[in-house]
Amino acid sequence: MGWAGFLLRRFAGTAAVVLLLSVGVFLLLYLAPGSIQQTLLGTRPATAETIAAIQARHHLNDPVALQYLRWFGDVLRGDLGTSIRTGMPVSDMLGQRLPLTLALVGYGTLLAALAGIPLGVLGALRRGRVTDRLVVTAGVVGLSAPPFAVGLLLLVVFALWLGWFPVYGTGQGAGDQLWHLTLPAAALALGAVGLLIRFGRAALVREMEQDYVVFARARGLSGPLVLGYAMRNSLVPILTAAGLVVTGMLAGTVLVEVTFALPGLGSLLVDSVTFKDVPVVQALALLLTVLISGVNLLVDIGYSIIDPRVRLGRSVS
Amino acid sequence: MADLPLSRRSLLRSAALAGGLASLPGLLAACGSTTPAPRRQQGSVDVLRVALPSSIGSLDAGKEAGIMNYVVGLLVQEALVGVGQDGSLHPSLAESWTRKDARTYVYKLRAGVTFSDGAPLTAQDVVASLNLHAKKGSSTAFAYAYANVDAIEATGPAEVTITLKSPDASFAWTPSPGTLLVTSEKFIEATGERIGTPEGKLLGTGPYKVAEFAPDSHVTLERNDTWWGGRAPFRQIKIDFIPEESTRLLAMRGEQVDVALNVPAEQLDQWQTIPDVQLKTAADRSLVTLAFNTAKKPWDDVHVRKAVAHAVDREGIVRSVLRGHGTVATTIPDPAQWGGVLDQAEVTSLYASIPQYEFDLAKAKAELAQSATPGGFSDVLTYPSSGPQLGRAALTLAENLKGIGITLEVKEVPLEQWIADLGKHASGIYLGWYFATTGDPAEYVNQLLHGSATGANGTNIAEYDNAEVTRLLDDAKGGTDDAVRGKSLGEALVKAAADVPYQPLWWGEAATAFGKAVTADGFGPYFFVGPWASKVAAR
Repeated sequence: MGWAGFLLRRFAGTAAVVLLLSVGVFLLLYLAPGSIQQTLLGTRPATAETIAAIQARHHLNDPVALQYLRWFGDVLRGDLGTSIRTGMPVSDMLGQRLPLTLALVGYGTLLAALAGIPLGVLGALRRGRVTDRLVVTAGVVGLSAPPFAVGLLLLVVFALWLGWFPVYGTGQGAGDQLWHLTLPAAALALGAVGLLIRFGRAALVREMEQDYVVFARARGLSGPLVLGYAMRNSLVPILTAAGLVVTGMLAGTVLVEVTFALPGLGSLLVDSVTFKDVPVVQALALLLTVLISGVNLLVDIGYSIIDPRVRLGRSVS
Repeated sequence: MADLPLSRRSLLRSAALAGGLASLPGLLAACGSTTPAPRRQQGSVDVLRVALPSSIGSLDAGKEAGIMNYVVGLLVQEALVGVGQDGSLHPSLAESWTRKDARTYVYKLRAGVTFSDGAPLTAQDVVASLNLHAKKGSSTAFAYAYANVDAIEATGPAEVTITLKSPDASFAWTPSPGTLLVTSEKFIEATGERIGTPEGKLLGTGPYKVAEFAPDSHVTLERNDTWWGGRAPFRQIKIDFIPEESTRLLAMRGEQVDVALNVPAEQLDQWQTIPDVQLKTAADRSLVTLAFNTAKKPWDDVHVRKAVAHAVDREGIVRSVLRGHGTVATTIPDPAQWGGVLDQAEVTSLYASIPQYEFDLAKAKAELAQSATPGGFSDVLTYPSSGPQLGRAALTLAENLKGIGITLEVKEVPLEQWIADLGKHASGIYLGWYFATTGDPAEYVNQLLHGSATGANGTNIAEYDNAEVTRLLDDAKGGTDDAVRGKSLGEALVKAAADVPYQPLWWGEAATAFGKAVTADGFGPYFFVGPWASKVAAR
């Protein structure tokens, strides 16, 4: 089976997941307490006509299956609908927020990789010594720290005490935005660093015990060269971890964006769920599924590049 | 006419974050020692930076009538009448107005008012703005206030006449900023459904115009130099939405914001330690009350209601739960809501005559013994997750009730569910939480006590239907003399209190923080009901 078959299967799988998820999310929102007209009107009094007008406008009296099919039909035609909360086209809202969240996740992953992989290597090379213990402990601390608490801690230290970074917001211009995104990306990266340390260290430790490493050393190859061989062979687990890191960060943005008052997909999700803004929540679920599938696809393609023994379309060893 | 308490958006956030933050205040308090470099020259503020605790979804308060929507919208749009610091109506876009007869209101428009796009304000614009809510099938959040409107006409180039179907003295408040924001006819036609969106924005006659709106991020306002009220003090206002309360505190500490709204009561101590920050507190015209469903057993028994009323330690709740930032509510309307109807002395004497059920567990026990359920019973009381203080108050009540044999299970529910439950009228006991949109004392009173507001989706959540009280309220509604109106309303409150359909708990307070560069003039319950930024000045 070649590339085409592989991609086809992946797309079919993703489509099935998206379909199931959209039904599930729709039903959950439908079953959640409260209703759109009550959320819109609050505890204010409302005349029967106003309630009827709102219900008619958002088709709230239709059977739930019909409501879902109407939404689904529109999506097939490329129309994600209009947000109930803001009155904006959903595709515009996603388009405005996606770059920020992608930048945040990309920046976070970069920081995590820059810190996590070298530390993992260090731990593996100094296995059993004090440095290794410190690295492993730091990894556990990073893994178990919730991103929003880390975010507040970073704010106190780097924004308030040291004054190096702004407290909140996105900034204007590329440089300023990068400056604004540093603390949130660091908050996201901390947990990921722990994950990368653990995966990287374990993989490298295993490779360093392999026969080829012992022989290479016996033949007098230089240390860095041997490490290079071992590193290449431990890349598969590290790549797996990197995939987990990216998808985990997409979820982590929900809390971090709220802490740093960033208008990304995460804060949009929070607001839209509480408002029962069905078109936006549905579109977000769709988008996040596609993003996560995309990351997984890239990871799989990455496997075959790193390790020629792995062939796409066959089971990954 | 009440608002969503806080905003619905802050709710999930607070729910999601509250758990982890319990340990942070100590840490945050420890940062008081640092002194960041001064980022601002004294005496001149070009850009005012405001932090709001939640985002708004629409700039149009008619679409989403949350408190924060008004805070933003009232800098841009105005109404026919405004609200003075004493809570009485005063001229705004209408220079003067008369109640020609019980059903007819005539508004004379101010001359020389222009919209921020340069077009002059006409009677047609006002009629079009009113019709947004008054037309048949309107789905705006203000539509309820216009249900009684028969006709709206421009009776002259600068005169608008509104005729009602039946007399209603409270209608005088309808064209105030709580339920009317004036925009131009042309703008309504051109923008339609997109009013209030980032693309459509807003058009008004106020001191500022919208330059940019990014939901969940910020609103940027630019000064409207043609404002009839004079030149507003800041060239630009940048309003940022910062949902996380600890982040807001850090932003104020780091001097990145000048004004922060709704400082949470439990954080007041920490805000107070920031050097040179002024914390101003005022009644926010909110009411928290227990409501007993008089149509449901065992709450249909007045002795049960009295027993529970006696078991509430209101002073204790205000002292310990609210840390003193609130006032024990002796009846439904806040004393600040009688402006223009009764003067302060009359309000004081009226409130003294309203029967009270003071905290006394012995009396509570005695009342319960006289009821149909002397051995006690059990029920559930829910509160919205955005109001943790309501939950703590409910828990103190549940603890007291345990002593007299009543088991009250206190449950936190999402704000949306709490609103839905209030509408169903199916529970026995509720915690009601209301924010008034007007300064009219009849606002809550009619909603909570009038017999016609009973039934599902009605606002009379106690299902209280007393013909005498309803008659008094109708008298007040039809009356044209404010003193007589005040008297009828007062009598209705006294009569209803004897039946205990509600046990009012407290009138809320809101704290606003002003950073070291700015200060505010005449801060009070009505500060944010109007073009408030014009009263903020550099210091």
